[in-house]
Amino acid sequence: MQLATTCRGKARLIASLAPVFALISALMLLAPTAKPARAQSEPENNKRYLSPIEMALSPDGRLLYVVCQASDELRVVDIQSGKVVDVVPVGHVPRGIVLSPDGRQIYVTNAWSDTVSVIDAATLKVVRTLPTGLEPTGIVSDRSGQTLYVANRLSNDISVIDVNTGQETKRLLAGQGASYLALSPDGKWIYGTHIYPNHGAFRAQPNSEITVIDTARQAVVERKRLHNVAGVFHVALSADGKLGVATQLRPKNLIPLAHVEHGWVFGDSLTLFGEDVGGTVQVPIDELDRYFALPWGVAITPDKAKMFVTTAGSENVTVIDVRKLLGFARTRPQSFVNDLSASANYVTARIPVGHNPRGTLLSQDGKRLYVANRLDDNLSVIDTSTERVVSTIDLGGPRTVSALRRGEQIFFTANYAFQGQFGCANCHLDATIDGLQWDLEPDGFGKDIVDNRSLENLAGTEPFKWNGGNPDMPTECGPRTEKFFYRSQSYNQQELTDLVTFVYALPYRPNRYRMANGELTPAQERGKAIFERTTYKNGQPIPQKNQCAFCHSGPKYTNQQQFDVGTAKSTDRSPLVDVPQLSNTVYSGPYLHDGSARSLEEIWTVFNPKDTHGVSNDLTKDELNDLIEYLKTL
Amino acid sequence: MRAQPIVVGLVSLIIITAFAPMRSVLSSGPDAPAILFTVAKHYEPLAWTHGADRFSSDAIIFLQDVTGRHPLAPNFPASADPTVSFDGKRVLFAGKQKAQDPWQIWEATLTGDSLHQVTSCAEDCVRPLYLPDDRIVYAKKTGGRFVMEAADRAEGKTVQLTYGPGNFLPADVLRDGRILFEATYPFGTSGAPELYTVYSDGSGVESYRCDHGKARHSGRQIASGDIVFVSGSGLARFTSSRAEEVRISAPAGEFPGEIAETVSGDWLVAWRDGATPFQLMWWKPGTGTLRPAVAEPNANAVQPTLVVERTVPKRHPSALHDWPNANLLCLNAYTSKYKFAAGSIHSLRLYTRDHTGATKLLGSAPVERDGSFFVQVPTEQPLQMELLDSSGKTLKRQAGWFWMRRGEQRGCVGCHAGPETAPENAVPMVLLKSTTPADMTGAAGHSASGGQ
Repeated sequence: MQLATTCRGKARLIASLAPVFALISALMLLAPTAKPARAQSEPENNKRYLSPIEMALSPDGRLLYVVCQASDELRVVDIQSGKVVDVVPVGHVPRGIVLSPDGRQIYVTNAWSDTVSVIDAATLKVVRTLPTGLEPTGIVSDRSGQTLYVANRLSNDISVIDVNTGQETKRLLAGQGASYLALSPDGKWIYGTHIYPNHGAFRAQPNSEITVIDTARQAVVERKRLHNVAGVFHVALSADGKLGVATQLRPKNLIPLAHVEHGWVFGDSLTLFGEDVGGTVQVPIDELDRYFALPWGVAITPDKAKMFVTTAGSENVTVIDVRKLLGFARTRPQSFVNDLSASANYVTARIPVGHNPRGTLLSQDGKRLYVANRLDDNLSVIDTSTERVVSTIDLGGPRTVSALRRGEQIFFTANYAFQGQFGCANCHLDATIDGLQWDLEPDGFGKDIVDNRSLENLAGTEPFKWNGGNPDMPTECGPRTEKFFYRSQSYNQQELTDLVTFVYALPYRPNRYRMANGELTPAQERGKAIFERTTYKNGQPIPQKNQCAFCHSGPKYTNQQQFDVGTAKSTDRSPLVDVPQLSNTVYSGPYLHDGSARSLEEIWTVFNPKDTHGVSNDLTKDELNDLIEYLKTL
Repeated sequence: MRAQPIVVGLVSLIIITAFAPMRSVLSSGPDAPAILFTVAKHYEPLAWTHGADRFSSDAIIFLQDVTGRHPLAPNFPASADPTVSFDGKRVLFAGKQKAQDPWQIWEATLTGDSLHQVTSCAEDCVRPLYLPDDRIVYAKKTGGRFVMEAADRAEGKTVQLTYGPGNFLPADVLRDGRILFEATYPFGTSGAPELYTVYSDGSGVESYRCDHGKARHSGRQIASGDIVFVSGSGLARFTSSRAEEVRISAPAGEFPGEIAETVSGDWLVAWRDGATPFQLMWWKPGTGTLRPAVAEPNANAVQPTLVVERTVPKRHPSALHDWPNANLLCLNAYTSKYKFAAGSIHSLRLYTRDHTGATKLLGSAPVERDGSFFVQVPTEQPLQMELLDSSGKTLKRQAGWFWMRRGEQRGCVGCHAGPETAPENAVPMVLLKSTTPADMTGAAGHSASGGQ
């Protein structure tokens, strides 16, 4: 982790400037008809949007601490008045929060700083900053308050941090995209989820896990397997500890996307676990003609009567009667997760809330539920008895909604797809990837399987699609999406412009493999030389098209052309693939156009037997490692 | 989508100004909007199932607002099937300019200053509905039976939507863009009427729910998204969350058809008790009493329609390919209400039927061990599937017919799995063997070699 620490300064600078460059580039590239009305819609006085995402409650129940992802702040709300009473700057892209058991410390994870901000709850000042793994997200404290557990999304692990020393004492292997944690009421167990599927065989059913940690041993003691699940989000426990629940997606990436109806693309569901249900039980929350996309936050009332689930793509909170749910599950020994009529037996209400609802928090008495409407900069307050929104707490974000913000709202909603089944953010989780390969319909069934591509800093990487078939982003997001993905009327011209503006503005995430001073490590230097070489080891020239740096050239390491590099499968209609950009490629696995390479290494050790995808067969294992070390810095 | 040139389809706009005195359509508020309804001496709501008229020849549409009651098209000897445009300003209806004319589709402004003929069908064209993007759908009688047709009014093109045997009648356009329609179950039989959906390019035809049984017709979608319809002689609804109809507890009597819902949730319904004509009544669902709205002493008052703006349904972006045939992928034939024994399904036969009603075998194809099959089929004609065991014995033959549009690619979760069943995520075994569908177009002889 030394490298990651030393690279942070530069990474932060790049990350902060990237959106500006990307947006400028994007606006230059937009079609003449696609002109965002910047002057009228930019936030006043350049105020930043807040994007509240998670919350915690002070021990006396008077204050709400709200993590604001876009403004890099913790906002403190007086619940009685509904007013923001303090603002605490934290690190970059804060994402998770927990209080120490005595309530004196507030811990906030900073996903793009790879740190935890330790805030004194009395003075509301950051008093310490603790290092973590890559992209820390969820965080819990053990019952003693001596140990913090932090789920690291990009390093796929859980940091165990000694609060007294501030040092990480252990790193526990978790699922891909480790993200959310929950402590059992008795303090003995921690349950962890992850947003990307674990690596498996090519075209195998995706699998995920709930990672169970014994807090006494600080060790993983169980991995509860979640079959055919990819994308697991928040996890919660009932007050008696007998029922656990995690929100999740069940993608249908292995079947051709011929249409959308009947849950053909995604299933929105929960996994129940714990003594109340025995092993694990997956339960659907969708209906036959309406979908409740991207179940994200979840909370169980103290009396275990109700469960509340935010559906981030559907601007809703789903209310579940726990007694009915458990009763129904007991009557259905066979899986019923594909039964779209099942939810009628336990879902009692759908409560409309704001854009992209994420974190949920119950008051101590369970009478109020707070929901963070991430793209409205406010909180919905729900009476858990009447199941209605009783008030909305404004967190003080900009009053105007910019084109960029509108585009973000469009990106994260599922309202455009047929019957609201999914949106951009279903496959591009938190605007990244989903780690899955899909069988899209236009080319025929079972043909041209495609891996999900990264959206980071796309300007200058056109054309799009793995075959380079879409010349620009409006084409990519417009008619093609409407016809072959959503299967329903989608964006008008303004909405498409806003969406494209947002997508083009997505920045690079900080690259943790670059040195802060811009220099390369010796291994990276050696890898760079291999990447740029023009001759074999024996001195013979390598044909230009077989040199890494020929196709992967330019500022984003793509010459924006299509080549046959020998990676096509028998089901591909053409051997030509669009040269992908390599910037931050370390975060975009699996690799190759169809995702058949599970790691960078497999690109050459498994899928390049004839040196058609660069020359790699004359490299030693160490030299290949060097090449990969260099690629990680791009 | 392949659009057909107009032969007897849309006609150029024939503007007839001042066909009726200019008028203002007045309502006394959103809860008491102006209404349209049809008055006829005789009304048989299911006559369409055998290609007959639902109304007696004296049927007349009336517009009723706070100023009184006016015939919508006073110079027409017959008019029926009113439907209001999404902006609440125009009305499509079926009408006859002369008593001996076939029914045609007409459009009128509600202010009475414009009327034009939309279709010029050789036989009757009835039950028009507005679609998004200046398209309409209606039932067109051809060879004595009703088929559904959609027309693009801007381009002047029509496309046939239904290709099964029997009669088809549009019922409503759902907010998700699908057309709700009525036909017998199974198609082409003398079975009870059932509610189905189809996309506005004729693809994706299926029954709305699979708890078949009672005669269901005259469905309309209400604000909640539920479909309210006649089931037997009473009312029922389909909700999004349930796979079966839910009976509506309503006052005793007979409800013949469509309901109209106000902003406050009151319903305007046609109703009668005993042998008296149908009358229009206000009803607040959940209560036990009806309030008279429109009374006609010697005739039926039916087809209540509110003159209000309403949400434009989503447009369906047709994804039909420019291919002569269609592809059908079944993920798992064992996913079925018929509970086939594991490993019992060996092959599939596909049939069509010609214009005389004679059944013709198109071919057969293997069914894989996981129950998957992938076939290429002819389009725009009736199709019927039959599942066979390894000895060639029929396990189940589809009772009715379905169709696929030219260039359609369709997947099925199973064989009669029901719309409540979502697919399991697994690569169908048939696609691991080949991504080329078995040819069932009837162009070449084809025999089952077994898929297991």
